Amino acid sequence: MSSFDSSLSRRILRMRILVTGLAVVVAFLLGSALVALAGINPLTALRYLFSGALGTRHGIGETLTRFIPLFLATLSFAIAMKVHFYNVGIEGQIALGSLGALLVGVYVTGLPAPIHILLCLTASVVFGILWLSVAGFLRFRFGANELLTTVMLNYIAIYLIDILVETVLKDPNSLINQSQKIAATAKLPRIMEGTTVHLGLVFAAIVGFIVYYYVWRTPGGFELRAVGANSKAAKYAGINPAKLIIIGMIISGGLAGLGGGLNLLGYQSRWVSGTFLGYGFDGIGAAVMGQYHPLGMAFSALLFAIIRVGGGAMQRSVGVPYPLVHALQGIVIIAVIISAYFIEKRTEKMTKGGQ
Amino acid sequence: MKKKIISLLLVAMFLVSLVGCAGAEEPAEEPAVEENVEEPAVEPIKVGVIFTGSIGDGAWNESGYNALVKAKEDLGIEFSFQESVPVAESGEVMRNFAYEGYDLIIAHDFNYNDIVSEVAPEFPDVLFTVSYGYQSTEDNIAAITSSGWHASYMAGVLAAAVSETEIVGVLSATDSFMGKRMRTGFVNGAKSVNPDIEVLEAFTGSWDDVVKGKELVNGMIQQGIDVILSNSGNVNFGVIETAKEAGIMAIGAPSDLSSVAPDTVIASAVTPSGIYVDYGIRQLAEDNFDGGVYVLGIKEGAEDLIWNPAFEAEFSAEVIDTVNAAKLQLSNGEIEEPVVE
Repeated sequence: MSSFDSSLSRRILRMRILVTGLAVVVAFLLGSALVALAGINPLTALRYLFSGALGTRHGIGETLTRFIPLFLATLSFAIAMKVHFYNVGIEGQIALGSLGALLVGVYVTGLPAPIHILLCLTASVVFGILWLSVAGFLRFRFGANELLTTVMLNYIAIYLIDILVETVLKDPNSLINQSQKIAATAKLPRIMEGTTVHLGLVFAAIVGFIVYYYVWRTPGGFELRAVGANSKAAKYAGINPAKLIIIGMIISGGLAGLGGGLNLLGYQSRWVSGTFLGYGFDGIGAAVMGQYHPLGMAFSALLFAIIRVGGGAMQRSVGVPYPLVHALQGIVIIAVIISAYFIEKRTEKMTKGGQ
Repeated sequence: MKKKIISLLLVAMFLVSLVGCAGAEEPAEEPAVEENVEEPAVEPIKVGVIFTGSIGDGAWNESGYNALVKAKEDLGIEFSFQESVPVAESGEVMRNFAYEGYDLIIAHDFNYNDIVSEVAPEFPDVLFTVSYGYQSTEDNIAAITSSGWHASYMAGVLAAAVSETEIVGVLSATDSFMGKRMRTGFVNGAKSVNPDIEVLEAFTGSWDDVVKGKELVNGMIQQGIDVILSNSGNVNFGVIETAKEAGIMAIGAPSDLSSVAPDTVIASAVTPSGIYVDYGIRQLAEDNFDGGVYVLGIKEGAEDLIWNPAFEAEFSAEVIDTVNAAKLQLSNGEIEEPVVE
């Protein structure tokens, strides 16, 4: 019986990977059609997309640098989804996480590097959690739908940090609206010569593994998934859903904040007014595409990073307008969401067929 | 099964359309190859440009892009660009251009200046210009900027020359050094024509707060202005609307706004950004590129006053002459720079 089960689940997994892969292929074909409509040979454009992102040492470095916050955003969204909390406010939590790292990185000085970095990242995590807990509070106290509150909190977060950078946090020696740079002791070291890849990549990999282990290999993670799968049944089994939702929220907000912190300490070093990172929004699409599994999301986050970096190369080399790059990303997301529907139907059928 | 067939058909259709488009693309590429065969000896200058927004914005970026197209025609340069590059990511884009073998990298916004200062030392063989930039920390950086007051000075001259109430107004978006310098230029221009003229000054504190702009200008109108210069981004449209309702004259800035309200906008104090792009390319083409800060003005075409043709025809020769005389003085460097507190 158990060998039959595992063969079924393997078949389901294979089907899911296949359908998602097909969706991505269809999305790229559609995107190519758009590129062709703009009068550009899509094959040339695609070649530059991948060679720009993966063809040179610098390109690979850039792609991996973008991958770090994207991957953490996917983890953040997936954990919240496990408890059916729709955290679409990751963008804002990333901004707040960046702010936490910035404040500690600039204004706390005289610490040895590892401690300073850890302190900055702690601030990022706490800021991310606090920002998400605003939406959590509104949901538990007033029943406000978190889809709405978190999306609104994104804008408040982004404008908040801009206002701070334009006023109290403004670098007095700069003509433009930007914060000071973080202290040298707060900078995450680069780990690949001649590129921007930083130690955050290692942090992201470790965090990805921990999340996987916690959700799929511990009793706590089982409870988390149980609440998400069927909160009534979970309650009957003696699990307190509200407690689990709160735990899911805390992890989700913390991961998003951490993503912002790693990006700031490893890459940006300061905040320039008007910065819109977009990792939070892209991360949602990548999480859906990765089917909420850390390994799947590692792939999808990488693909989204490739599109970001390669999109620039596409424009520089053959003049693909930047909006088309965004459109391509949008098409990938839509195709993957549609494929998720097919996957669900198909899984249902396959499971029934097995009975 | 039916669904499968349909989806296969769809995919096939896309493939066919792709091949079709790709096929159509090829003849277009051929002439380019022929051109290269004609002039194999000359290696064209490769210019990479970074824009903050879209090249179709009808303002700053579009003007820069048009200058590139023109430089390609006139000087035979090759260029490529990347749009909508946030300051935080601009360093990587510059490095990409440098690795891809570009000779000149134009960062088309003063916000990129600090990043250029960071990246330029890594690539001593690549030249960098910053449009409207403020500092040059290396030999391979040219920060190209404008006086910031020539155009508004001319607007002031025009406003004073056509005002009947002898009260005119000027509105900026910010009260920064640049905003003040622009307004002071206007005041000096107006006083040069009519020392007794009263100039009302205000700023919105925002490039987008149209309502506040309208209120401020309405206040000025109640105090009797009959000409307003507005250089405050999107607020301009609210100001021009208010001027139209009150029947007073308006001067637009920093691009030509005559078409917004042809019966109200008498002229525009323009600061076309293309000149910054053009200047750096020309310096390189003439093998004359030096690092430093370059301040351009009316003489170099970085600033100008552009008439609304309908009003140019309507105004007396005296008005036109006064404005032209001021333009000549400015380009000869006979007018002192406004003092900003």
